[in-house]
Formats: sequence, C-alpha cells, structure tokens
Amino acid sequence: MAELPSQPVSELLARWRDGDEESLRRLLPVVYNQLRRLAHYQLRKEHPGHTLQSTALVHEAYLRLARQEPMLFQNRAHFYAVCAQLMRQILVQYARRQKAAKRHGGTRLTLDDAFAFNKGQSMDMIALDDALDGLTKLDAQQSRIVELRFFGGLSIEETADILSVSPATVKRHWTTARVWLHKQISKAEHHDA
Amino acid sequence: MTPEQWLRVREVLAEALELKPKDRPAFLGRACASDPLLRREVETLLSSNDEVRSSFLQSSESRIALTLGARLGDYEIVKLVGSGGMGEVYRARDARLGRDVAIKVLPALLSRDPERLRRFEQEARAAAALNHPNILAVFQMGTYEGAPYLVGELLEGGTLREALARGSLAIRKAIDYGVQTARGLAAAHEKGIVHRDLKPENLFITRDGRVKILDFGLAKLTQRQSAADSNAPTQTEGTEPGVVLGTVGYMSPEQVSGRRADHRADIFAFGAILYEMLAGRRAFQKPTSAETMTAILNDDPPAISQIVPLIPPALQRIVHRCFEKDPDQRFHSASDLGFALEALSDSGMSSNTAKAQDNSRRVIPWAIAAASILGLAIAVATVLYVRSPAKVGDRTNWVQLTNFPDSVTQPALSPDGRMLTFVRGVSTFVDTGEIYIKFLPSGGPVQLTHDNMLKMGPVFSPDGSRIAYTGLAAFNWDTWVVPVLAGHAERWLPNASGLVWTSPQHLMFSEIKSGEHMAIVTATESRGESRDIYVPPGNRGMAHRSYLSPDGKWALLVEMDNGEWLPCRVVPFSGGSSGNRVGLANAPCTNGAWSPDGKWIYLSLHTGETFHIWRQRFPEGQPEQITSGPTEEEGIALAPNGSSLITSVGLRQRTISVHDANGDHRISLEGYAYWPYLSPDEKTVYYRILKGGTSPFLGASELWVADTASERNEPLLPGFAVTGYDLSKDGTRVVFSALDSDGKGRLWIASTDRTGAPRQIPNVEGDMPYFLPPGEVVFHAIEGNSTFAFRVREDGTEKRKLTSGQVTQVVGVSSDSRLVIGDSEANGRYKLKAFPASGDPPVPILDGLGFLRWTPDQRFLYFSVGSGMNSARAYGRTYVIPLDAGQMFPPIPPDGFHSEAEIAALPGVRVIEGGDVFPGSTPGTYAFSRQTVQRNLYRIPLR
Repeated sequence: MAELPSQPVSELLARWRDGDEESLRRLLPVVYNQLRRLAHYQLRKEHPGHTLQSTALVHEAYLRLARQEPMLFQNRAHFYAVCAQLMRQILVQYARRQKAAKRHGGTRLTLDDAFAFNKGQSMDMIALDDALDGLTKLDAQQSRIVELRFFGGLSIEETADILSVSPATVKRHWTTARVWLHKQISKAEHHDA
Repeated sequence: MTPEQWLRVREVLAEALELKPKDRPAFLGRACASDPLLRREVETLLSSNDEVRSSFLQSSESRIALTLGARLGDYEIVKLVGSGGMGEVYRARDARLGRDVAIKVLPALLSRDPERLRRFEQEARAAAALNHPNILAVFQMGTYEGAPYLVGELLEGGTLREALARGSLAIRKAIDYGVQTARGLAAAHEKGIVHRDLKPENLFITRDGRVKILDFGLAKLTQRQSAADSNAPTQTEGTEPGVVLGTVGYMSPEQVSGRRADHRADIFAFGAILYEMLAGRRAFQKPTSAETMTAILNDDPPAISQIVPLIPPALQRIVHRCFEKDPDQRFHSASDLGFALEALSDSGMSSNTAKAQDNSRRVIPWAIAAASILGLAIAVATVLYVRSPAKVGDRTNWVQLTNFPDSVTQPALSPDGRMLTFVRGVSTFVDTGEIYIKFLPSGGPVQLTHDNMLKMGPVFSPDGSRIAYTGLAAFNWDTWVVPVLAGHAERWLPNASGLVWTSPQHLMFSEIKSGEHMAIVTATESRGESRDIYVPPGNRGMAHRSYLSPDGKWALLVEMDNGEWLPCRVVPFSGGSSGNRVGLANAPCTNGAWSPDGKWIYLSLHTGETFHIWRQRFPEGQPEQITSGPTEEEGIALAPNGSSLITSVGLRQRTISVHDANGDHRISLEGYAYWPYLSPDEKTVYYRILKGGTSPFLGASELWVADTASERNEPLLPGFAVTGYDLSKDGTRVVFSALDSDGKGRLWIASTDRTGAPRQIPNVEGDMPYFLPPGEVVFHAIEGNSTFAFRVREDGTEKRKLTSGQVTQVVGVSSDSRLVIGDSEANGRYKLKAFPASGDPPVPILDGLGFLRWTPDQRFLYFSVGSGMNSARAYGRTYVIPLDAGQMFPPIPPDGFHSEAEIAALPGVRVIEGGDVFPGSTPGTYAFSRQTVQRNLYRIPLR
C-alpha cells in the first residue's frame, strides 16, 4: 500500500467529514485508484487480461462512490472496508442481474461474462455473498477479513495492518474461512442442482 | 451453529489444517474427545477442504512465451520485438516466401472463449481485408497453444508515442499524419469496422513517414458477449452499453460513461491524438484516471492556441470539433475529417515531409507578423489555409468590394443584386455610423445619411428605391428610411427595428413589448394585421434580427438574452412556436441569411476566438464552416442567384504604448493587449494579452512584462490563464487571478522579479484581485446568485464580505487603501462607486462605468469613463483631474457625477483620448492601450 500513504487519506477523510467538499474531490481519485487495483485483481482471478473490463468495473464503482452522500469514514480501515464492500456489492449485483437475465431469456447485460457462473470455472458471486452473510453472523471480523482479502485484494499483512491484528491471526481466520465458505457454497450448489 | 460453536470449530480446524492429513485423525481425537459434534463439524470441513482448489478465492496468472527458433506454422521466430498488454510481437521469418514478418501473439487467456475468438478472427479478417496503405496489413492468423496470433507486415519505424516523446510535431507534420490516419479510419469505417482504442501507441510511423493504424479489431476482442445474444446480428455495430473500452485519455465521453460507442468514438480519439501532436501534451491528462475521465465528460481541453499561439485557427477548430461531447456535433465521418484537414495541407498528401516541415516553420510566423496589414494577411492566409481549388472559403477567390481605412459593416443587397448598402461604423451591431450605398461592381461609395446617429441593419425596399434602417435615440428603436437617389432620412416606424420586407406591402421587424423585451412581429407597412412571430421567453430577451425563408414559411432569428448573443433560431413564420436552434450550441450567432433556393442557412457564428461564416442545410444538416483564418467575418448578404455572399471581413488589434514627453512608444508586439501597469520607476510595463481572439471579457489572458528600455518582452507567469491582476505599490509583487484546470478562479501572489514560485492564496475562489495594504487582498467572487467584493488576508485567512450590496466588478483600490472602487448594477444601469474598506456605505461616483487611478504622489486622479456595451477600457476618455493636497477626490455631487460634461467642467482638467490609461509617477507619463479595427466588404464565391 505504498501508493496510499495513510496520513493524507486520513486528513482528507477528516476534512470531508467536516464538510469540506474539496477534500472529497481529492479523495475520490485515491479511492478510484484503490478500486482499480481491486477490480483488476478481481478480474484477473479467473479471466487474466481483462483489464478493460476492470476499467469498466471501476468506473461504475467510482461513479457510485462519487454519487454517495458524504459518508463518515472513521479511519483508514473503514475506508478500505467500504471499498471492498462496494466491490462486493457491484460484483454481486452484476451476478444477480445476469441470473435474472438468464431466467428471462436474455436481456442485454453489462459485464456479463466477466462474471460468468460456469461451475468449476469461476466464482459464484451470489453463493459467496450469501455464504459471507452467514459467516458475518458467526464472526463479523472473520467475514471482514475475507472481504478485505478477496474483494479488497489486500495481502495478509495489509489486512492485519488495517484491522490491527497480527498476520498470524489473519492467516488463521482466512484459512478457516475459506474452508467454511467453500463448504457453504458447495452445499448451495448441491441444493440448486 | 452459534458464534460460540464456530469459535471452537474454527480453532480446532485451524490447528488441524496445519497438520499433514495423516496426522489429523489423531489430533481430532484428542481435541474433540469430549465433543463428538465438534469433531463431526470439523471433519466435514476438512473433507470439504480437500475439494478446495488452490485457486479458490485466490488469483493466478499465466502467459504465453515463444522462444527463439520456435515455429508457428510457416514462420520461424527470429526475435522478440516488443511486448505489452495485448501480447508480444516477434520478428519472424516466412521461409516459404523468403520475407520477414511480424507476429503478434495474444495472451491465451484473452480469448479462452471460442466464440470470442471466432469474433476476433472475423474482425481481424475484416481489417485484413481492408488492404489500405494506412492500416497495418494482416497476412494470416492462427492459434498457438490456444493463443491466437496475427501475422502482419513488418514495419520499420516507431510508434507515434515514441515520436511524441521528443515533443510536439511541426504543424505540417501533424496535419500530414492526421490526414493519413483519417484516411485509414475512413476506409475501416466504411466497412463498418471501428477501432475503439485509437491512441498514439496504435499509430505506427514508418521510416518513410507513412502512418499505419495498428490493432484494428483487437479492442473488440476484449468485448464480452453474453450467451443470450451470441447470435445477435449486431456484433459489428457498436460497443454495447455498460462496457468501457479504450484507453483513458483517448476515450470518448460515450465510452467513458459506458454508452454505445460507434465510429465517432474513433473521431474523438483522433482529435485527442491530433491535439497531442500539435500541443505536445495530452488533451485530457489529469493526475488520475478518474479525474481524466471526469475531464473527458465535463471539460474542454485548453485551446491549443494557448499552447501553440501560431496554430491556424481552422486547424484548432478541427481539433475541437472532434472533441464535441455530443457525437452528433463531431465530424460525421473520418472522411469529412480527412477532407477538412487536407484543405489545410499544402499540396494534398505527400509522405515526404521534409519540404513541408520547412514551410511550417517559416510561413506560419510570417502570417502572424503580416496580419497587421489586412490584405497581406489574407494573401498569406490563402497560402496557409486553403489549397483545394475553387472550394468554398478559398480566399484567393474573394473579391474586395470596399476599401475604407476604418470599418464598414452590415452589408445588404438590392433585390436585383446591383446595389450594395452598408453602415460605416466600428461595431457590427448598433453604432454611431452612416448609411452608404455602392453600385456594383465598380461604383464608388455614396454617403446617404449625415446625422451621427446610432444605426443598424440597412435593407433595400422591394422596389429598390429606399433603404430602411434601424435608428436609435434614447433607447427608442425606430425604423428610418432614406431614398436611394436623393432626399433626406426620416423616421418612419416607431418601435420597429431590424426591419425586412416580406412582400411589397408586408414587413417583419422587432418590436419592444415592454422595457427591453423585444419580439419579432409581422405587419403591413401601415402597421395593420400585426401579429407576433416569436416572443423571447425572458423579459430581458431581445430578438434583434429576422430573415424570412424564400418559401415564406420560416423565420431565421438572431436573439440576445440579458445582453448576450444566443445561437440563432428558426421558427415557423406562422408563429406560435419557439422553433429550433440552428448553428452550434453555445456559439453566439449575430447574422443570418437564406440561400435563394431555401436549402441553406448561412450564419455568422462566434466560435472560440472570433466570428466566421458557417452554413448548414435546411431543414436537416450540420453546420459547416465557410470562412476561417485570422480575420472575423460578420454580416451576410446573399447574391440573388446564390452564387456568392458578401460579408464584412475585419481585423482587430490592440497595442500597449507608453506616453511621455517624447511621445508614444509602442510596447506590445502582437495580438490583443490591454490593461497596462507602469512600474514606479516607469521602466517596466505589465499588460495582459489575448493570444487569439479579441474579446477581453471572454476569457483568460497571459500576463506579460516588458522593459521600456531593453528588448525584454515576455510572459511574466507562463502557464497561468490570468483573468485579472494588480501590482503592489512598490512594484515588487503581483496579485493575480487565474483559472485552474477546472475553470475555477484562484488567487495567487508572485514576486515580479520571479524569485520563488507563485503562491496560491488558499481556500479562496474569485477574480479581479487587488492589494489592500497592509497584508490583505480585495477580490470579486460569487456568493449565492450574486457577486460581491471580499477581502482576505494574504495567507487565506479572515475572508469576509466587504460589501453588503452586489458588486459587478472590482476595478481598483484607492491610493490610500481606504476605498475599494467597483461598480454595481440596478435596473440595467451601472453605477461606479467607492466602497470604504471600513464597511461604511458606498459613495456614488458616476452614473456609468469607469475606472479611477491615482498618481503615486496623489496629486492627480485619472478618471476613465467607459462607453458602449463592449467598453474594455479601450474606448472612452480619461480625465486627469488635479487634486487639492490631502484630498482623494475632486468635489463630487452627493449622488455622483451624472455625465462626462460634469467631470470635464472641473477646474484644471486635462483629457486623454482613450480609456485604458495607467498613470506614471511623473506628470504627463502614462501607459495606455489603443484598439484599431479595420473592416471591409468582400464577396465570397459559394461554388
């Protein structure tokens, strides 16, 4: 996270919170860059090379963020969490729209096959979303770790830094969450089938 | 499962995962000895874990790489030439044909989807089939270990990106490359193939100067397609909404916002590339992609003329037309674009640019230098701007009809086309001037009026015996008539202006409904059968001119709102409809005309810098520019047979001079210079200069500094688009307002010796700043719907409003720093006032606009009184008023001066003809600007 020194971001966040619109304007590009990093990471997972789609994805995320009322970022962690949540929302929403479109016989979709549901090939975003909701009920922090790692594209160390816990803890939570989530998702697929 | 249960499951699971699978059962036996449910849960998870692929929630990467000597079909790889996001490029040997080729291998995973690969091939084949000299030739394509590859011609040279790394290109070269690129694009677009990712990296310049467009069809490859529409027949027709393709910085607004993008997106990208070739920097470049995208959506790039002052305006216009946010407003096709560019180039297309480069360096500066003489300017402009024979706007075919040393405007022809009437006066709108007539082709001008009245818009009566025109006295807009042969002018119709005949007995004209609300009406000559044709929506709207279509069904209107010219409008003559705007959005339109067959509308439009003639098809059509160049063209009279039009071709200049005991010394070199300051030692002159255009209030200028003794004459603040400035009393510091990249006015302070960088006054937005010693700056800024004067400390703190009432302009601070001079407006009338810095109520000084300056010793007040609606201080007079010791003002009437005569009557007053005067320290020394305007009538052939 070298490109994102914490001090200016925190300062901008604080000023924005105090009603300084200018700082929002300066903050958004930072957010945007972060989002782009995330999006690129997301798409690389199953479809390497789709940098252009990731631009589209980010652009949407950026527009959403820009449209939002000034929300209160308490701190850097919250900021990243919001980015990751935003990314999650967008991916899941696309997935749901895609599913709906398939059901209704083919409305044109945006960003569709970047998030295709082909089993065994790419992530089922809806199932993951549901599973993560389940995990939140069991351990909110663990769910947040997944969000930051998967949707936020942060490393173990970065996640630990953001959440002020040890890397060992993050790793532990991450490994067990993966197993648990996978089980939940497989179960969902089984039910669907 | 409860959170508590999960906590325990997770701990055991985590530890189990650390172990080798064979050790896990024993561990579980110990850890879950007393809790079989826990054990079962963990075991389920562990078994699930065996299915968790390593990629689950993780990332992966892969890439194809070819090694030396590897073979792809008939080709043997010789070496890697380059690599990038779109794959690697290799040099390869075609053993069969004994030639070297280029092979581009795309990342395998880019086209995992066979359907997408098929479409890529289809696109690439189509591109290959183009076989155009300006498009990279593709010989073959295939697949290598799942990765598609293209075999194409091997080019020697470099990309345009590499060329641009060395700076901007000569104008001729940029045009040459532009024309070639446009030709390649046109060929592709004709086949329905859109590039969508045009950028300098995708334009290859061969060693012999030929442009090759690369990567056609590749952008398409990255376009996804849903299963649902895989058979849709629209694949080649456009990017479906929602997907952003292309490279930030060259993307069109429609691509940025994920809307449907067609070939006009390529035209936008083309404009961005042309801009970069000319300006040496990107049209849309911000620190981040997000800001760049925002800029693409909302901003116009800085005019190239601000960066390359010598750019031909027609070229600049071509670039900016590619940048229209609305695709409909751009060039409709790449071939139109290429054609427009070609018209600028010297000899059609020649890849050999050696001679062309030479020309571009020599001819263009020469054109500007020569521009002070109108005739020469036109001659040079002919060489520069227009080459294609007998094209509309080709200046070599223009015929000069008048040769006045000053200014003639507003031409109109008699119905038979044999008589020409016009106004001799400075303004192209209402101005003091006289009506003239001239018999074509070679009669001398004959003056018909001699009354020094404000006039506008002479027209011939249908029988050609009379000329009707608008005469203005005390805001009464009346129609006057004067016989063509002999007789006196007399007032004919009150409250009727911009009059034209629609038939021998019927008229169309402008009529004031109330105040200044001016509508277009029609009536008989006796004012019978009067009815409204168009009434402007706002009560400050004024429809000043109207022109009836030849079929009598439509009226083309020229209108103003709140003192600003609007685009022209066509409304049905039958009335009842506000019709449609014509011309260009946001381009003020002051004159119009119909072709005799009614198929064309001709307009005088102000685009960017100045007025030129445009035309568009009626009823459907896009505006196209007819005239261009350093002059401005206003007023249109169509020949009755439609073969030509007559317009007023003008050239305006404004120069800064210093006057002292030895007379006037010219300071500024070129362009439109104004607002001078003289340093306390009288050795240095500061002034603003517009590098293009002649509208001091319309925009940003550069702040220049010149030494009266030496040759030094240069920008003081390069890179700042200055909108206002003031110098400290000792001349060491300058406070100025400048537009930032978002078009917001920011205030800065710099030292005049240029030690140190300019410092921005933080957190302040505004313009017209002046030093308010000690340590403060007064400026003009918007608050709510109104503007006020504010004061702020130089460090940006303690900003507060100085005036409770609205202030239209801040024009200075008194020499004792106690008064801020500005004007305010009420009921359309401006009043100059002095606002005490103490916050006390303002003191009225003059009914009207003006400027106050004090000599440093405070012995004289320079009181400049402006006049006219466009008084940029160039016009008007300056009264030099001696002051009693210790006084700031002469005796002023309690509610201010009401007229110049009252000022002129003050004892000891001296007059300087000119309004833009800045006093020096010694009596009789001052800096000033003077504007010169020359306009004459030309006939421009239309085919």
